[in-house]
Amino acid sequence: MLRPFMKALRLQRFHWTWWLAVLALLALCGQVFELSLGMKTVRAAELEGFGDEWEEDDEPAPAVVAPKPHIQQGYQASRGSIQGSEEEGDDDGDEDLQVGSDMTIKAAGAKRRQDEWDEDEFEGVEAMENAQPVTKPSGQSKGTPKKQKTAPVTSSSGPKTYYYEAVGVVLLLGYLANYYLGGKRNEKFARDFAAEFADPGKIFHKNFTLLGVGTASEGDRALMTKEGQATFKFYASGRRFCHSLLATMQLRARQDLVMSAISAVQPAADRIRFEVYMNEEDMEPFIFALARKRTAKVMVKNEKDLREFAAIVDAPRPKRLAEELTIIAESKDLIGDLLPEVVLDQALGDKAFATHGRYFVSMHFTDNAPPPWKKALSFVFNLPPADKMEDLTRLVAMIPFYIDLVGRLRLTPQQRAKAEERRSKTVEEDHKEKMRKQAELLAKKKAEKKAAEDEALAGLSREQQRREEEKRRKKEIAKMMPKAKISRR
Amino acid sequence: MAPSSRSASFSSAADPRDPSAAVPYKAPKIKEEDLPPSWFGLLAILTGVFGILIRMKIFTWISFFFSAAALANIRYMEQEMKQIIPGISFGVMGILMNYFMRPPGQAG
Repeated sequence: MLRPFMKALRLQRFHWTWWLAVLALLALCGQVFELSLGMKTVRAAELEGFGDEWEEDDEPAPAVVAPKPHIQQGYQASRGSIQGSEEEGDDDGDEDLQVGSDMTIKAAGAKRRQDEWDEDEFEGVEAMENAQPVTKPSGQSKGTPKKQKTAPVTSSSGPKTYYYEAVGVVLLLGYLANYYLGGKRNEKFARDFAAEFADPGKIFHKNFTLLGVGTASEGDRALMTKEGQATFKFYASGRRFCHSLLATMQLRARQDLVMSAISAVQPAADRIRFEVYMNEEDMEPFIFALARKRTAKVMVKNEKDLREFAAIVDAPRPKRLAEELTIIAESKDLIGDLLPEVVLDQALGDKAFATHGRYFVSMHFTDNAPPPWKKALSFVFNLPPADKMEDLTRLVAMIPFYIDLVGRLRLTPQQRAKAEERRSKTVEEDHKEKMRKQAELLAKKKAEKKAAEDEALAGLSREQQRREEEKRRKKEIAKMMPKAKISRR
Repeated sequence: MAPSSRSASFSSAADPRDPSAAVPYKAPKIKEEDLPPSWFGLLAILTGVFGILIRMKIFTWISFFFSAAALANIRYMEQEMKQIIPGISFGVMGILMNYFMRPPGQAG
Protein backbone atom coordinates (compact mmCIF):
# COMPACT_ATOMS: atom_id res chain seq x y z
CA MET A 1 0.00 0.00 0.00
CA LEU A 2 2.82 2.34 0.89
CA ARG A 3 5.00 1.32 -1.97
CA PRO A 4 3.12 3.18 -4.69
CA PHE A 5 2.99 6.17 -2.39
CA MET A 6 6.73 6.10 -2.00
CA LYS A 7 7.12 5.78 -5.71
CA ALA A 8 4.90 8.75 -6.15
CA LEU A 9 6.88 10.60 -3.51
CA ARG A 10 10.10 9.88 -5.31
CA LEU A 11 8.56 11.13 -8.49
CA GLN A 12 7.44 14.27 -6.74
CA ARG A 13 10.89 14.74 -5.30
CA PHE A 14 12.30 14.89 -8.78
CA HIS A 15 9.49 17.13 -9.75
CA TRP A 16 10.45 19.65 -7.07
CA THR A 17 14.13 19.55 -7.76
CA TRP A 18 13.34 20.21 -11.37
CA TRP A 19 11.13 23.02 -10.25
CA LEU A 20 14.06 24.55 -8.38
CA ALA A 21 16.15 24.38 -11.51
CA VAL A 22 13.35 26.05 -13.44
CA LEU A 23 13.25 28.83 -10.86
CA ALA A 24 16.97 29.38 -11.17
CA LEU A 25 16.52 29.46 -14.93
CA LEU A 26 13.67 31.91 -14.53
CA ALA A 27 15.93 34.19 -12.54
CA LEU A 28 18.58 33.98 -15.24
CA CYS A 29 15.97 34.80 -17.86
CA GLY A 30 15.00 37.74 -15.68
CA GLN A 31 18.51 39.10 -15.86
CA VAL A 32 18.73 38.60 -19.59
CA PHE A 33 15.35 40.17 -20.04
CA GLU A 34 16.30 43.14 -17.93
CA LEU A 35 19.52 43.59 -19.85
CA SER A 36 17.66 43.53 -23.11
CA LEU A 37 14.98 45.76 -21.63
CA GLY A 38 17.60 48.37 -20.78
CA MET A 39 18.89 48.27 -24.37
CA LYS A 40 15.49 48.30 -25.97
CA THR A 41 14.01 51.09 -23.88
CA VAL A 42 15.12 53.65 -26.36
CA ARG A 43 13.91 51.76 -29.37
CA ALA A 44 10.53 51.28 -27.78
CA ALA A 45 10.42 54.94 -26.96
CA GLU A 46 11.16 55.82 -30.55
CA LEU A 47 8.01 54.10 -31.64
CA GLU A 48 5.86 55.24 -28.77
CA GLY A 49 3.28 57.75 -29.83
CA PHE A 50 4.69 58.13 -33.33
CA GLY A 51 5.01 54.99 -35.34
CA ASP A 52 1.60 53.60 -34.68
CA GLU A 53 -0.27 56.72 -35.48
CA TRP A 54 1.69 57.40 -38.63
CA GLU A 55 1.14 53.87 -39.74
CA GLU A 56 -2.53 54.40 -39.26
CA ASP A 57 -2.41 57.62 -41.24
CA ASP A 58 -0.30 56.00 -43.92
CA GLU A 59 2.09 58.85 -43.69
CA PRO A 60 5.85 58.48 -44.09
CA ALA A 61 7.83 58.42 -40.90
CA PRO A 62 11.20 59.90 -41.91
CA ALA A 63 10.59 63.12 -40.00
CA VAL A 64 10.69 61.24 -36.72
CA VAL A 65 13.14 58.51 -37.56
CA ALA A 66 15.88 60.89 -38.50
CA PRO A 67 15.22 64.33 -37.16
CA LYS A 68 17.96 66.86 -37.44
CA PRO A 69 19.84 67.72 -34.28
CA HIS A 70 18.71 71.32 -34.18
CA ILE A 71 15.09 70.26 -34.51
CA GLN A 72 15.41 68.02 -31.50
CA GLN A 73 17.03 70.83 -29.63
CA GLY A 74 14.01 72.85 -30.47
CA TYR A 75 11.72 70.19 -29.07
CA GLN A 76 13.83 69.75 -26.01
CA ALA A 77 14.13 73.41 -25.27
CA SER A 78 10.60 74.36 -25.98
CA ARG A 79 8.91 71.34 -24.45
CA GLY A 80 6.99 73.40 -21.96
CA SER A 81 6.41 76.21 -24.39
CA ILE A 82 4.83 73.95 -26.95
CA GLN A 83 2.16 73.14 -24.44
CA GLY A 84 1.95 76.80 -23.64
CA SER A 85 1.66 77.62 -27.29
CA GLU A 86 -1.10 75.07 -27.70
CA GLU A 87 -3.04 76.88 -25.05
CA GLU A 88 -2.23 80.37 -26.23
CA GLY A 89 -2.21 79.71 -29.94
CA ASP A 90 0.49 79.75 -32.59
CA ASP A 91 1.04 83.46 -32.27
CA ASP A 92 3.49 83.00 -29.42
CA GLY A 93 6.73 84.86 -30.04
CA ASP A 94 9.09 82.07 -28.97
CA GLU A 95 11.70 81.46 -31.63
CA ASP A 96 12.49 77.88 -30.78
CA LEU A 97 8.90 76.97 -30.86
CA GLN A 98 8.72 78.54 -34.25
CA VAL A 99 11.58 76.43 -35.55
CA GLY A 100 10.32 73.23 -33.97
CA SER A 101 6.78 73.83 -35.07
CA ASP A 102 7.81 74.61 -38.60
CA MET A 103 9.75 71.41 -38.94
CA THR A 104 7.01 69.32 -37.44
CA ILE A 105 4.46 70.94 -39.65
CA LYS A 106 6.56 70.03 -42.64
CA ALA A 107 6.74 66.45 -41.46
CA ALA A 108 3.30 65.68 -40.19
CA GLY A 109 1.04 68.61 -40.83
CA ALA A 110 0.17 71.54 -38.62
CA LYS A 111 -3.39 70.50 -37.85
CA ARG A 112 -2.36 67.06 -36.73
CA ARG A 113 0.26 68.49 -34.39
CA GLN A 114 -2.22 70.74 -32.70
CA ASP A 115 -4.97 68.17 -32.31
CA GLU A 116 -3.23 64.92 -31.58
CA TRP A 117 0.06 65.55 -29.83
CA ASP A 118 -0.17 64.85 -26.18
CA GLU A 119 2.11 64.00 -23.23
CA ASP A 120 2.93 60.53 -24.44
CA GLU A 121 4.11 61.79 -27.76
CA PHE A 122 6.49 64.15 -26.09
CA GLU A 123 7.85 61.42 -23.88
CA GLY A 124 8.58 59.40 -26.93
CA VAL A 125 10.40 62.26 -28.49
CA GLU A 126 12.42 62.85 -25.35
CA ALA A 127 13.38 59.23 -24.99
CA MET A 128 14.56 59.35 -28.56
CA GLU A 129 16.55 62.43 -27.75
CA ASN A 130 18.13 60.70 -24.79
CA ALA A 131 19.24 57.90 -26.99
CA GLN A 132 21.09 60.31 -29.28
CA PRO A 133 24.22 62.04 -28.15
CA VAL A 134 22.72 65.52 -28.42
CA THR A 135 23.16 67.14 -25.06
CA LYS A 136 23.54 70.73 -26.02
CA PRO A 137 22.25 72.78 -23.12
CA SER A 138 19.54 75.23 -23.87
CA GLY A 139 19.30 78.39 -21.90
CA GLN A 140 15.88 79.10 -23.31
CA SER A 141 14.27 76.05 -21.72
CA LYS A 142 10.97 76.75 -20.06
CA GLY A 143 9.86 73.21 -19.29
CA THR A 144 12.54 71.94 -16.88
CA PRO A 145 10.14 70.20 -14.47
CA LYS A 146 8.76 68.03 -17.27
CA LYS A 147 12.20 67.31 -18.53
CA GLN A 148 13.12 65.68 -15.20
CA LYS A 149 10.52 63.04 -15.83
CA THR A 150 12.71 61.36 -18.39
CA ALA A 151 15.77 61.13 -16.14
CA PRO A 152 15.07 57.65 -14.66
CA VAL A 153 14.74 56.16 -18.14
CA THR A 154 18.28 57.28 -18.88
CA SER A 155 19.58 55.81 -15.60
CA SER A 156 17.83 52.45 -16.10
CA SER A 157 19.82 51.74 -19.19
CA GLY A 158 23.12 52.36 -17.38
CA PRO A 159 25.59 49.65 -16.36
CA LYS A 160 24.46 47.26 -13.59
CA THR A 161 26.07 44.57 -11.51
CA TYR A 162 24.52 41.18 -10.84
CA TYR A 163 26.26 39.98 -7.69
CA TYR A 164 23.11 38.80 -5.91
CA GLU A 165 21.88 36.99 -8.95
CA ALA A 166 25.20 35.29 -9.58
CA VAL A 167 25.59 34.24 -5.92
CA GLY A 168 21.93 33.23 -5.73
CA VAL A 169 22.03 31.04 -8.82
CA VAL A 170 25.33 29.46 -7.79
CA LEU A 171 24.02 28.72 -4.29
CA LEU A 172 20.78 27.26 -5.60
CA LEU A 173 22.66 25.08 -8.05
CA GLY A 174 25.01 24.05 -5.25
CA TYR A 175 21.98 23.26 -3.12
CA LEU A 176 20.54 21.14 -5.88
CA ALA A 177 23.78 19.21 -6.35
CA ASN A 178 24.16 18.70 -2.60
CA TYR A 179 20.53 17.57 -2.36
CA TYR A 180 21.15 14.88 -4.92
CA LEU A 181 24.54 13.73 -3.60
CA GLY A 182 23.56 13.94 0.09
CA GLY A 183 20.37 11.99 -0.59
CA LYS A 184 22.41 9.29 -2.32
CA ARG A 185 24.80 9.06 0.64
CA ASN A 186 21.91 8.63 3.04
CA GLU A 187 20.35 6.00 0.81
CA LYS A 188 23.60 4.08 0.97
CA PHE A 189 23.25 3.88 4.77
CA ALA A 190 19.79 2.37 4.38
CA ARG A 191 20.92 -0.10 1.72
CA ASP A 192 23.95 -1.20 3.74
CA PHE A 193 21.83 -1.63 6.85
CA ALA A 194 19.31 -3.77 4.98
CA ALA A 195 22.07 -5.82 3.39
CA GLU A 196 23.80 -6.40 6.72
CA PHE A 197 20.80 -7.29 8.85
CA ALA A 198 17.77 -8.14 6.73
CA ASP A 199 19.14 -10.15 3.83
CA PRO A 200 18.49 -13.90 3.79
CA GLY A 201 20.48 -15.63 6.52
CA LYS A 202 20.97 -12.43 8.55
CA ILE A 203 19.62 -11.56 12.00
CA PHE A 204 16.18 -10.19 11.12
CA HIS A 205 15.60 -12.78 8.44
CA LYS A 206 16.22 -15.52 11.01
CA ASN A 207 13.91 -13.94 13.55
CA PHE A 208 10.91 -12.51 11.69
CA THR A 209 8.53 -13.94 9.13
CA LEU A 210 7.61 -10.67 7.47
CA LEU A 211 10.28 -8.14 6.59
CA GLY A 212 9.77 -4.73 5.05
CA VAL A 213 6.67 -2.71 4.35
CA GLY A 214 5.17 -5.02 1.72
CA THR A 215 3.76 -8.50 2.04
CA ALA A 216 5.59 -11.46 0.54
CA SER A 217 2.46 -12.53 -1.38
CA GLU A 218 2.51 -9.28 -3.33
CA GLY A 219 6.08 -9.94 -4.26
CA ASP A 220 7.04 -6.61 -2.85
CA ARG A 221 10.54 -6.75 -1.47
CA ALA A 222 11.00 -3.19 -0.28
CA LEU A 223 12.85 -3.57 3.00
CA MET A 224 13.34 0.08 3.85
CA THR A 225 10.78 2.85 3.60
CA LYS A 226 11.96 6.33 2.90
CA GLU A 227 10.51 9.37 4.63
CA GLY A 228 12.15 12.44 3.27
CA GLN A 229 15.85 12.34 2.49
CA ALA A 230 17.21 11.54 5.94
CA THR A 231 14.69 9.17 7.53
CA PHE A 232 14.34 5.51 6.69
CA LYS A 233 12.12 2.90 8.27
CA PHE A 234 12.40 -0.83 8.53
CA TYR A 235 9.53 -3.05 9.60
CA ALA A 236 9.44 -6.65 10.72
CA SER A 237 6.70 -8.87 12.10
CA GLY A 238 5.84 -12.50 12.70
CA ARG A 239 7.79 -13.52 15.80
CA ARG A 240 6.92 -15.02 19.15
CA PHE A 241 6.21 -12.65 22.07
CA CYS A 242 5.94 -9.53 19.94
CA HIS A 243 3.56 -7.92 17.49
CA SER A 244 6.14 -6.15 15.36
CA LEU A 245 9.42 -4.28 15.23
CA LEU A 246 9.86 -0.85 13.70
CA ALA A 247 13.31 0.61 13.17
CA THR A 248 13.62 4.32 12.38
CA MET A 249 16.90 5.44 10.96
CA GLN A 250 17.38 9.16 11.56
CA LEU A 251 20.38 10.26 9.56
CA ARG A 252 22.11 13.61 9.34
CA ALA A 253 20.48 15.96 6.85
CA ARG A 254 23.25 15.45 4.31
CA GLN A 255 20.94 16.63 1.52
CA ASP A 256 20.64 20.07 3.10
CA LEU A 257 23.53 22.47 2.61
CA VAL A 258 22.68 24.53 5.70
CA MET A 259 22.46 21.51 8.00
CA SER A 260 25.63 20.08 6.47
CA ALA A 261 27.40 23.34 7.30
CA ILE A 262 26.06 23.25 10.86
CA SER A 263 27.06 19.62 11.36
CA ALA A 264 30.57 20.45 10.12
CA VAL A 265 30.88 22.78 13.13
CA GLN A 266 28.84 20.73 15.56
CA PRO A 267 28.89 17.08 14.50
CA ALA A 268 25.69 15.13 15.03
CA ALA A 269 25.39 11.35 14.98
CA ASP A 270 23.35 9.16 12.69
CA ARG A 271 20.95 7.23 14.89
CA ILE A 272 18.72 4.24 14.68
CA ARG A 273 15.84 3.53 17.02
CA PHE A 274 14.25 0.09 17.28
CA GLU A 275 10.78 -0.11 18.77
CA VAL A 276 9.54 -3.60 19.62
CA TYR A 277 5.82 -3.76 20.38
CA MET A 278 5.27 -6.63 22.79
CA ASN A 279 2.13 -8.72 23.04
CA GLU A 280 -0.01 -7.68 26.01
CA GLU A 281 0.20 -11.10 27.64
CA ASP A 282 3.91 -11.57 27.05
CA MET A 283 5.34 -8.81 29.21
CA GLU A 284 5.16 -8.40 32.97
CA PRO A 285 4.51 -4.98 34.50
CA PHE A 286 7.98 -3.53 34.98
CA ILE A 287 10.08 -0.62 33.83
CA PHE A 288 13.78 -0.77 33.17
CA ALA A 289 16.24 1.37 31.24
CA LEU A 290 19.95 1.43 30.61
CA ALA A 291 21.66 4.42 29.03
CA ARG A 292 24.81 6.45 28.81
CA LYS A 293 25.12 8.76 31.83
CA ARG A 294 24.05 11.99 30.18
CA THR A 295 21.26 10.37 28.18
CA ALA A 296 19.97 8.68 31.36
CA LYS A 297 19.47 12.06 33.05
CA VAL A 298 17.59 13.40 30.04
CA MET A 299 15.45 10.25 29.89
CA VAL A 300 14.44 10.46 33.56
CA LYS A 301 13.47 14.08 33.00
CA ASN A 302 11.52 13.56 29.77
CA GLU A 303 9.98 10.09 29.94
CA LYS A 304 6.81 10.05 32.02
CA ASP A 305 6.99 6.37 33.01
CA LEU A 306 10.60 6.62 34.18
CA ARG A 307 9.78 9.76 36.14
CA GLU A 308 6.79 8.17 37.88
CA PHE A 309 7.88 4.60 38.50
CA ALA A 310 11.64 4.35 38.25
CA ALA A 311 14.81 5.98 39.52
CA ILE A 312 18.52 5.93 38.75
CA VAL A 313 20.06 2.95 40.56
CA ASP A 314 23.67 3.16 41.70
CA ALA A 315 23.67 -0.11 43.63
CA PRO A 316 23.35 -3.00 43.21
CA ARG A 317 25.08 -2.88 39.90
CA PRO A 318 26.64 -5.76 37.94
CA LYS A 319 30.38 -5.52 38.49
CA ARG A 320 31.22 -6.04 34.85
CA LEU A 321 28.81 -3.45 33.49
CA ALA A 322 30.59 -0.68 31.59
CA GLU A 323 31.17 2.43 33.68
CA GLU A 324 29.67 4.72 31.06
CA LEU A 325 26.24 3.17 31.56
CA THR A 326 23.60 4.08 34.08
CA ILE A 327 20.72 1.86 35.20
CA ILE A 328 17.23 3.28 35.67
CA ALA A 329 14.92 0.70 37.22
CA GLU A 330 11.61 0.33 38.96
CA SER A 331 12.66 -2.72 40.92
CA LYS A 332 16.23 -3.52 41.92
CA ASP A 333 15.36 -7.22 41.99
CA LEU A 334 15.15 -7.37 38.21
CA ILE A 335 18.55 -5.86 37.41
CA GLY A 336 20.36 -9.19 37.58
CA ASP A 337 17.76 -10.85 35.35
CA LEU A 338 17.80 -8.11 32.73
CA LEU A 339 21.58 -7.77 32.53
CA PRO A 340 22.72 -11.41 32.25
CA GLU A 341 26.30 -12.46 31.77
CA VAL A 342 25.88 -13.06 28.06
CA VAL A 343 24.93 -9.40 27.48
CA LEU A 344 27.89 -8.19 29.49
CA ASP A 345 30.17 -10.59 27.66
CA GLN A 346 28.98 -9.71 24.21
CA ALA A 347 28.39 -5.97 24.27
CA LEU A 348 27.74 -4.05 27.47
CA GLY A 349 30.44 -5.36 29.80
CA ASP A 350 33.51 -3.25 30.58
CA LYS A 351 35.67 -5.25 28.16
CA ALA A 352 33.27 -5.56 25.23
CA PHE A 353 31.80 -2.09 25.45
CA ALA A 354 34.73 -0.21 23.90
CA THR A 355 34.77 -2.44 20.84
CA HIS A 356 31.30 -3.89 20.38
CA GLY A 357 29.09 -1.63 22.45
CA ARG A 358 30.46 1.79 21.57
CA TYR A 359 27.46 2.62 19.40
CA PHE A 360 25.02 1.89 22.21
CA VAL A 361 23.01 4.89 23.41
CA SER A 362 20.10 3.52 25.42
CA MET A 363 17.50 0.81 25.89
CA HIS A 364 14.17 1.20 27.60
CA PHE A 365 11.61 -1.49 28.52
CA THR A 366 8.23 -0.35 29.69
CA ASP A 367 4.65 -1.44 30.21
CA ASN A 368 3.55 2.20 30.21
CA ALA A 369 4.48 3.25 26.69
CA PRO A 370 2.50 5.97 24.97
CA PRO A 371 -0.57 4.66 23.08
CA PRO A 372 -1.40 2.70 21.02
CA TRP A 373 1.22 0.26 22.39
CA LYS A 374 1.36 -0.08 26.14
CA LYS A 375 4.17 -2.61 26.30
CA ALA A 376 7.26 -1.84 24.30
CA LEU A 377 11.01 -2.25 24.21
CA SER A 378 13.08 0.45 22.58
CA PHE A 379 16.75 0.43 21.66
CA VAL A 380 18.71 3.46 20.44
CA PHE A 381 22.09 3.04 18.78
CA ASN A 382 24.38 5.39 16.91
CA LEU A 383 25.13 4.22 13.40
CA PRO A 384 28.65 3.36 12.28
CA PRO A 385 29.84 4.56 8.85
CA ALA A 386 27.84 2.94 6.03
CA ASP A 387 30.66 0.59 5.04
CA LYS A 388 31.24 -0.59 8.64
CA MET A 389 27.70 -1.66 9.43
CA GLU A 390 28.95 -4.99 10.81
CA ASP A 391 30.21 -3.10 13.90
CA LEU A 392 26.58 -2.94 14.98
CA THR A 393 26.00 -6.68 14.73
CA ARG A 394 26.21 -7.55 18.42
CA LEU A 395 23.97 -4.68 19.46
CA VAL A 396 21.35 -5.62 16.87
CA ALA A 397 21.59 -9.26 17.93
CA MET A 398 20.71 -8.10 21.44
CA ILE A 399 17.19 -7.14 20.25
CA PRO A 400 15.76 -10.63 19.56
CA PHE A 401 17.62 -11.84 22.63
CA TYR A 402 15.80 -9.30 24.80
CA ILE A 403 12.44 -10.03 23.15
CA ASP A 404 12.81 -13.62 24.31
CA LEU A 405 14.21 -12.61 27.71
CA VAL A 406 11.37 -10.19 28.46
CA GLY A 407 8.79 -12.59 26.99
CA ARG A 408 9.94 -15.35 29.33
CA LEU A 409 10.54 -13.21 32.37
CA ARG A 410 8.03 -13.80 35.13
CA LEU A 411 7.75 -11.71 38.26
CA THR A 412 7.20 -13.35 41.62
CA PRO A 413 3.69 -12.83 43.04
CA GLN A 414 5.09 -10.31 45.53
CA GLN A 415 6.88 -8.35 42.82
CA ARG A 416 3.77 -8.32 40.63
CA ALA A 417 1.55 -7.24 43.54
CA LYS A 418 3.93 -4.39 44.34
CA ALA A 419 4.08 -3.30 40.71
CA GLU A 420 0.32 -3.37 40.32
CA GLU A 421 -0.14 -1.48 43.56
CA ARG A 422 2.19 1.25 42.30
CA ARG A 423 0.29 1.44 39.03
CA SER A 424 -3.14 1.56 40.62
CA LYS A 425 -1.88 4.27 42.99
CA THR A 426 -0.61 6.28 40.05
CA VAL A 427 -3.85 5.77 38.15
CA GLU A 428 -5.76 6.97 41.22
CA GLU A 429 -3.51 10.00 41.58
CA ASP A 430 -3.91 10.76 37.91
CA HIS A 431 -7.67 10.53 38.26
CA LYS A 432 -7.65 12.81 41.33
CA GLU A 433 -5.45 15.32 39.52
CA LYS A 434 -7.81 15.26 36.57
CA MET A 435 -10.84 15.82 38.78
CA ARG A 436 -9.07 18.65 40.64
CA LYS A 437 -8.28 20.37 37.38
CA GLN A 438 -11.86 19.99 36.20
CA ALA A 439 -13.18 21.43 39.47
CA GLU A 440 -10.77 24.35 39.19
CA LEU A 441 -11.94 25.04 35.68
CA LEU A 442 -15.58 24.90 36.73
CA ALA A 443 -15.00 27.25 39.69
CA LYS A 444 -13.19 29.67 37.43
CA LYS A 445 -16.06 29.68 34.97
CA LYS A 446 -18.59 30.22 37.76
CA ALA A 447 -16.59 33.13 39.17
CA GLU A 448 -16.38 34.70 35.73
CA LYS A 449 -20.13 34.33 35.24
CA LYS A 450 -20.87 35.89 38.65
CA ALA A 451 -18.52 38.79 37.95
CA ALA A 452 -20.29 39.44 34.66
CA GLU A 453 -23.70 39.37 36.38
CA ASP A 454 -22.53 41.75 39.12
CA GLU A 455 -21.23 44.09 36.49
CA ALA A 456 -24.61 44.04 34.77
CA LEU A 457 -26.36 44.72 38.11
CA ALA A 458 -24.17 47.73 38.84
CA GLY A 459 -25.62 49.51 35.84
CA LEU A 460 -29.25 49.18 37.06
CA SER A 461 -31.28 51.37 39.43
CA ARG A 462 -31.72 50.40 43.08
CA GLU A 463 -35.27 49.11 42.53
CA GLN A 464 -34.19 46.98 39.53
CA GLN A 465 -31.23 45.65 41.49
CA ARG A 466 -33.56 44.60 44.29
CA ARG A 467 -35.81 42.80 41.80
CA GLU A 468 -32.91 41.01 40.16
CA GLU A 469 -31.56 39.86 43.51
CA GLU A 470 -35.00 38.59 44.44
CA LYS A 471 -35.13 36.65 41.16
CA ARG A 472 -31.75 35.08 41.77
CA ARG A 473 -32.65 34.10 45.31
CA LYS A 474 -35.81 32.40 44.05
CA LYS A 475 -33.84 30.57 41.41
CA GLU A 476 -31.38 29.29 43.98
CA ILE A 477 -34.17 28.12 46.27
CA ALA A 478 -35.83 26.36 43.34
CA LYS A 479 -32.54 24.63 42.58
CA MET A 480 -32.20 23.41 46.17
CA MET A 481 -35.77 22.09 46.32
CA PRO A 482 -36.29 18.43 45.36
CA LYS A 483 -37.68 18.02 41.92
CA ALA A 484 -41.32 16.95 42.08
CA LYS A 485 -43.96 16.71 39.50
CA ILE A 486 -47.24 18.35 40.42
CA SER A 487 -50.18 17.05 38.57
CA ARG A 488 -53.65 18.52 38.71
CA ARG A 489 -56.86 16.79 38.04
CA MET B 1 36.01 -14.84 14.92
CA ALA B 2 33.58 -13.39 12.42
CA PRO B 3 30.96 -11.02 13.79
CA SER B 4 28.10 -13.30 12.79
CA SER B 5 29.52 -16.24 14.69
CA ARG B 6 30.10 -14.05 17.76
CA SER B 7 26.49 -12.96 17.77
CA ALA B 8 25.45 -16.62 17.72
CA SER B 9 25.70 -16.68 21.49
CA PHE B 10 22.63 -14.42 21.60
CA SER B 11 20.56 -16.70 19.42
CA SER B 12 18.60 -19.69 20.56
CA ALA B 13 18.38 -23.04 18.85
CA ALA B 14 14.63 -23.03 18.22
CA ASP B 15 13.16 -21.04 15.35
CA PRO B 16 11.53 -17.97 16.90
CA ARG B 17 9.53 -17.09 13.79
CA ASP B 18 5.77 -17.29 13.90
CA PRO B 19 4.07 -16.84 10.52
CA SER B 20 0.63 -16.70 12.13
CA ALA B 21 1.64 -13.56 14.03
CA ALA B 22 2.82 -11.66 10.96
CA VAL B 23 0.98 -8.37 10.53
CA PRO B 24 1.61 -6.17 7.49
CA TYR B 25 2.90 -2.66 8.04
CA LYS B 26 0.32 0.04 8.50
CA ALA B 27 1.63 3.56 8.13
CA PRO B 28 0.44 5.87 10.88
CA LYS B 29 -1.71 8.79 9.77
CA ILE B 30 0.14 12.05 10.19
CA LYS B 31 -1.92 15.08 11.09
CA GLU B 32 -0.76 18.46 9.89
CA GLU B 33 -1.13 20.02 13.33
CA ASP B 34 1.13 17.38 14.89
CA LEU B 35 4.06 18.29 12.70
CA PRO B 36 6.66 20.72 13.97
CA PRO B 37 6.64 24.10 12.22
CA SER B 38 8.90 24.45 9.21
CA TRP B 39 11.25 27.21 10.33
CA PHE B 40 12.90 27.44 6.96
CA GLY B 41 9.47 27.85 5.36
CA LEU B 42 8.62 30.62 7.80
CA LEU B 43 11.91 32.43 7.13
CA ALA B 44 11.27 32.06 3.40
CA ILE B 45 7.89 33.79 3.79
CA LEU B 46 9.34 36.61 5.90
CA THR B 47 12.24 37.35 3.60
CA GLY B 48 9.98 36.93 0.54
CA VAL B 49 7.57 39.55 1.88
CA PHE B 50 10.51 41.84 2.63
CA GLY B 51 11.79 41.37 -0.90
CA ILE B 52 8.45 42.49 -2.29
CA LEU B 53 7.77 45.33 0.13
CA ILE B 54 11.10 47.07 0.01
CA ARG B 55 12.02 45.85 -3.46
CA MET B 56 15.41 44.53 -2.48
CA LYS B 57 16.51 41.64 -4.62
CA ILE B 58 18.79 40.19 -1.98
CA PHE B 59 15.80 39.35 0.25
CA THR B 60 14.10 37.57 -2.62
CA TRP B 61 17.19 35.49 -3.20
CA ILE B 62 17.49 34.71 0.50
CA SER B 63 13.83 33.69 0.41
CA PHE B 64 14.58 31.26 -2.41
CA PHE B 65 17.47 29.89 -0.41
CA PHE B 66 15.27 29.24 2.61
CA SER B 67 12.59 27.71 0.39
CA ALA B 68 15.23 25.35 -0.99
CA ALA B 69 16.27 24.45 2.57
CA ALA B 70 12.65 23.81 3.53
CA LEU B 71 12.12 21.64 0.46
CA ALA B 72 15.30 19.70 1.15
CA ASN B 73 14.16 18.90 4.70
CA ILE B 74 10.65 17.87 3.78
CA ARG B 75 9.51 14.58 5.32
CA TYR B 76 5.79 14.27 4.75
CA MET B 77 5.20 15.76 1.33
CA GLU B 78 1.43 16.28 1.49
CA GLN B 79 1.31 17.84 4.93
CA GLU B 80 4.45 19.95 4.81
CA MET B 81 4.03 21.40 1.33
CA LYS B 82 1.27 23.63 2.70
CA GLN B 83 3.83 25.34 4.91
CA ILE B 84 6.38 25.75 2.14
CA ILE B 85 4.27 26.86 -0.83
CA PRO B 86 3.66 30.40 0.54
CA GLY B 87 7.42 30.94 0.88
CA ILE B 88 8.03 29.86 -2.72
CA SER B 89 5.12 32.00 -3.93
CA PHE B 90 6.54 35.09 -2.25
CA GLY B 91 9.94 34.32 -3.75
CA VAL B 92 8.46 34.04 -7.26
CA MET B 93 6.45 37.21 -6.72
CA GLY B 94 9.61 38.95 -5.56
CA ILE B 95 11.40 37.86 -8.73
CA LEU B 96 8.53 39.13 -10.88
CA MET B 97 8.35 42.43 -9.04
CA ASN B 98 12.08 43.05 -8.99
CA TYR B 99 12.94 41.97 -12.51
CA PHE B 100 9.85 42.08 -14.69
CA MET B 101 8.07 45.14 -13.39
CA ARG B 102 9.51 48.63 -13.40
CA PRO B 103 9.39 50.57 -10.15
CA PRO B 104 6.69 53.29 -10.06
CA GLY B 105 9.26 56.04 -10.75
CA GLN B 106 10.08 54.43 -14.10
CA ALA B 107 6.58 53.56 -15.20
CA GLY B 108 5.96 54.65 -18.80
